[in-house]
Amino acid sequence: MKGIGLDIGTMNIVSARKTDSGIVTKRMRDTFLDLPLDAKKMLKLSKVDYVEREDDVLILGDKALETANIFGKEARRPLVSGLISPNEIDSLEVLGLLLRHVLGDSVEPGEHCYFSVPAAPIDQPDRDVVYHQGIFERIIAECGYTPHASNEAMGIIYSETAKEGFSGVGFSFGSGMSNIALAVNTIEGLSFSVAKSGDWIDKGAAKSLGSTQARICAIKEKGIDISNPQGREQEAIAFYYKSLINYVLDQVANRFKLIQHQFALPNPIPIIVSGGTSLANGFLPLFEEVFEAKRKRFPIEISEIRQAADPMNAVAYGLLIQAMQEE
Amino acid sequence: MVGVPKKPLGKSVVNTTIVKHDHGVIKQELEGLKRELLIELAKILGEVRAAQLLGVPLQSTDTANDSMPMYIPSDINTGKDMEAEITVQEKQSSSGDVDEAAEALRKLKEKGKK
Repeated sequence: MKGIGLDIGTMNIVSARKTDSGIVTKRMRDTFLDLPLDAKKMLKLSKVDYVEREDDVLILGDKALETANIFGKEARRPLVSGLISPNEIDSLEVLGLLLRHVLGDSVEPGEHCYFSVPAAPIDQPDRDVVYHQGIFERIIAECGYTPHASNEAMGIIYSETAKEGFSGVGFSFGSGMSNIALAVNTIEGLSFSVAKSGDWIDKGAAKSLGSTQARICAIKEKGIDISNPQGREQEAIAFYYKSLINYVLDQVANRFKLIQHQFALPNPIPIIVSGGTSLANGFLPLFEEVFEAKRKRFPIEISEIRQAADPMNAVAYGLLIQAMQEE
Repeated sequence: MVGVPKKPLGKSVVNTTIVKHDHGVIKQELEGLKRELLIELAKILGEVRAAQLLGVPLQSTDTANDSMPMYIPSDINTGKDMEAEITVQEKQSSSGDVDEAAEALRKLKEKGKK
C-alpha cells in the first residue's frame, strides 16, 4: 500500500506504513556518538554496530545513548530543540543515514511521504524552520519519495480526533519542543511551539543534581510515577514536569486570547496530549490538575482531556493518514 | 509583504496576508478591498502603521519564517554514500483506527468539495 508517514523528532525518528498485515512502525533514536578510531576493537567485542569514518567511528541510535551513559558522556543529537541547526552541517550525514533506514525503500518512485515539521518556536524567534524543512525535503527526495511537510501537532489531530470531525487541540510533548495546534474540521486555526519539553526537564534536573542529561533521561524512561516520586532524582524530574506543563499552558492561554475574536467554536473540543514526554505515569492527571487551575484563562471550551492511544506513534499515524489521501 | 495562498482541505482558497515587522508578523486572513488597501497603504506608510490604521491587529505568530527563503548549500553531505548496519525497532499493530480516520477524512474532503 502506498504512502508513508514520518515523524522526525529530536529524540526519535518514527515511520508508519500500512501493510497487508496492519500498520508497521519503525523507530530509531535520533542520536549518535563519535569515538576515536581505536575504540573499534572494544565496539566489535561488545557487538555494537558502528560506522567507520576517516577520523573516527560513529555509534548510532539507541546504542549511542547506552554507550554515552556507560562513559558518562552526552550523546550527540543532530537536532537541537526540535530543529536542525545550520551550524551542525556535519551531523546531516548521520541524519540522512538514519532516515534512509527508518523510511526503507519506496514502494514506487515518487511515493508520497508526509513528514513532520514543528511550528517555529515562539520563545526562540531567531530559530528557523525553513532550513530544517528544506534539508528534510532534500533527504526524503533522495530516498525516492515525494516529500510533503506537515505540522507536527496536526498529526495528532488527524490520528486522534476523527470522532470529533478532526477538531481539537493537539499537544505534542516531544523531546526538544512542545508543539501545539488548534484545529476545527481539519483546518488549522493556530499552531506554535515552545522550545521546552523532555530535554528541558533532563537538563534542569541534571543541573540541579550535578548529574548528566543522559542519566536523567535513562531514569525517566525506565518509568517513573511523577505523582509519587521516589528519591531526589525522581523528585527533581517531577518538579520540572510540573514547571513544563505550567509554562506550556500559560503560553497556550496567551496565544488563544490573541485569536479568540477570530473564530467561534460550535462545540467544546477535546485536548489530546501525546509525545514521548507524556508517557510518564501520572502525566495526564498532573496536566488535568494544572489545566483546571488555569481553565478560566482559556477562551475556548474544552470537552475533555485525554491521552493519545499510542503517544510515541500518534504523529506518525496522523501523517500516514494524510499520505493515504494521496492515493 | 507576501500574499500566501492557503488551501485548507476541501475549502476555497483563502488569502493569508503575512506582513513582516520588527516584532514578528501580522497574519490576517483578509479578503477583497481591505487586503488591497493594506498592501497599498503599507507601501506608503509602512506595514505596522498601515495595519494600525485599518484596525488589523498586530500579532506575533508562529509563521514569522514562512515568507523567508533560505539558501541550502548544494554540497551538503546527507550520507548518501555511507553504508551501515543499523538496528531499527519495528512494531506491528492493527490498522483499524488509522483506516477509520483515513476514511472519515476522505469523506470530509469529499463533503467539502460539494
